[in-house]
Amino acid sequence: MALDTRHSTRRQCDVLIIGGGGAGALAAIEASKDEKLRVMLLSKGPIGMSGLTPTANGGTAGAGPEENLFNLMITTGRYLNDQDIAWFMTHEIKNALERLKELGVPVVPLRARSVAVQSTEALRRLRYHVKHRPNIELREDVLVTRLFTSDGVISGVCALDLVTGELFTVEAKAIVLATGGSTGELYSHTSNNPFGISTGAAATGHVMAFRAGADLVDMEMIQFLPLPARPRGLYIRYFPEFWNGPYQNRLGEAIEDDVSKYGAASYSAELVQKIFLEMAEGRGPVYIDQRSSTAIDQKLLIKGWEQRRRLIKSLGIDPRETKIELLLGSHFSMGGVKVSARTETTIPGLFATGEIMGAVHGACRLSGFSFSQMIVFGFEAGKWAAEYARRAEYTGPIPGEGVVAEAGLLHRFMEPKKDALSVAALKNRLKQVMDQYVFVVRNKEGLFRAAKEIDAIESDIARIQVPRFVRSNLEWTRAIEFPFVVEAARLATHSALAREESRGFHYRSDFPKEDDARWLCHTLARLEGGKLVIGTAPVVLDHLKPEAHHG
Amino acid sequence: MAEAITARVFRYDPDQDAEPRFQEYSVTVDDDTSVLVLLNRIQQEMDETLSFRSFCCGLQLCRSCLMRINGKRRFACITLVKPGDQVTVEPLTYPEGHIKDLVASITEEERGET
Repeated sequence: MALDTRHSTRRQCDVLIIGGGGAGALAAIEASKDEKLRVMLLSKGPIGMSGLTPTANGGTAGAGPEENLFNLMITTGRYLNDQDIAWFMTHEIKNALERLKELGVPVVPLRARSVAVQSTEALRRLRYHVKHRPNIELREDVLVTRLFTSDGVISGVCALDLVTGELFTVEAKAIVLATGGSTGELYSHTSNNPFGISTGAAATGHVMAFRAGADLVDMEMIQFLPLPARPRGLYIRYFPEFWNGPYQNRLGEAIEDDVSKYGAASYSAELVQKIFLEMAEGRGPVYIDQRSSTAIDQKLLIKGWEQRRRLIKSLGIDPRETKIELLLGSHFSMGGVKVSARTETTIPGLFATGEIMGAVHGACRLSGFSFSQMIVFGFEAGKWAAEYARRAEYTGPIPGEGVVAEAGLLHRFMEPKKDALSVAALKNRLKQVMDQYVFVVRNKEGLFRAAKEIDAIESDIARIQVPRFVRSNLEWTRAIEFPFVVEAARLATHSALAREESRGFHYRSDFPKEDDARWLCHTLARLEGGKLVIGTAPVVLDHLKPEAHHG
Repeated sequence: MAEAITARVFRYDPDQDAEPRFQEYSVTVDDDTSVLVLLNRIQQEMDETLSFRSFCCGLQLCRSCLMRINGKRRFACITLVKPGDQVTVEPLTYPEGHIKDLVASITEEERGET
């Protein structure tokens, strides 16, 4: 049953895509347009049945004047977006949507500034293309656990087949990380986990990039939302149409009657901070009361929304008759791997696309803009990775000792322990620390405590023990992912400690004001001599300056 | 009042087992729950060797959790069970395409891919 590295196979491709969500699938399809390139896509689960894309509603910002989309992104993002990336995204989205339609994905008009791309239908279409392109090799149920570099240039990966337990390596000229968000496993509540069931948004991509030497930016910027709900005691991701409140506390007092005054409406940091305060001061639970909301506009219905309403109805919940209890949970990571507008990371040959990209949304993401990001930069990453691979050589075989070390790291969880711990027990400990100290409101003392606790939890990873078999071992997969989750927690905590101001979703009670003089810059997380170091990096402000909008 | 749900779950690891068997779990619940949540509780609290596709899109659209529940092809995410119920859970296909316990490979047809 033991993991056997003697027979681990070596594979090669020109462009390797890691992640089977929308961004990864699009990158693979785009890269494969050059028939001379061999493309491989590795996905942790079946495409369309894993990752966060299938959980999304499909609202996609893209209609209306580009200038408006861009300005809204920057002002709501509190000028922490790299404007060259945001500019490109907002000006490319209409073209990218046309190209998506050419792939047979239905794109339907929605509202003034958005269209709808139903996520599971889109992924079925994209998977069809991936399967039928002769130069794409698709492997599903494969978890990539480590990136390798050679003299600072990307060289390949170690990957585990979750069905057979086979560990194998892939050498690649260019690699695209499309592994999604980093916050799904960090907090007790998250919209990333519908019905409270983990989607495994374990930050593996972020942490692999970090360990390989890539720069990460703004990892403290986490969007929290009142999306997880508890109607009738059932834990669901509640997402009604006209999701604009009103929000009330336990006493029936209004928390927020009109969210339209915020650029991000129900996605705004201001609303979330108000709700958090109500709960912290003992006036929770918090409800959304839609009993007197206007009737549903049938023209706005898309498949995912209809389905959600039917689902809620079948659970015996009628938002027209009862208030819905809401929880605060993590939703999206605005921080991520530092990239150029061409999706290049700071490691030559390594690209990043989709939610893992940093500095796209700044300090607050708008509704619909992550699908725009996924579509625009899915195509872009495929294009630029292919372009890079055409010019690049393989940088040499992946060192055997690296693979042996990786096998040891994965296999250690199956070894018997004296004082064994379950993954769930340690994960709950981490979630409590993050809930308490690195949530909506933060301060120096709490963040220090969190940092200490996270170190202690990390040292207890050695005590995790899982059942000894390799075929579809859920517990083993969770154990393998857990060190990545702990590292993501550390990155968020130390980045939050560094940013001594409040901006968007990062609120410091000890520094409650936005401080452009000191902090109109990214926090930058990097591994130096085996240690996490937090510095800063300038923001690209080439179109809009904050002065123009103050006062 | 808390009452148990009895789940009869198909178990088979072709690497280790001579033949498939059903294993019974008695799970205490306070209220209605879904089969997918029930399986997650069994795996996390009672038997960590149980394998199933735990992914959930939350919308009954992705088909990851299609299983045979009481003999019928069902979405585990939205099939509710209540305290006192008995439920039998099997993989969508066996022996063809079966991987372990409730995990089976998914055909293009099942995916609705055209």
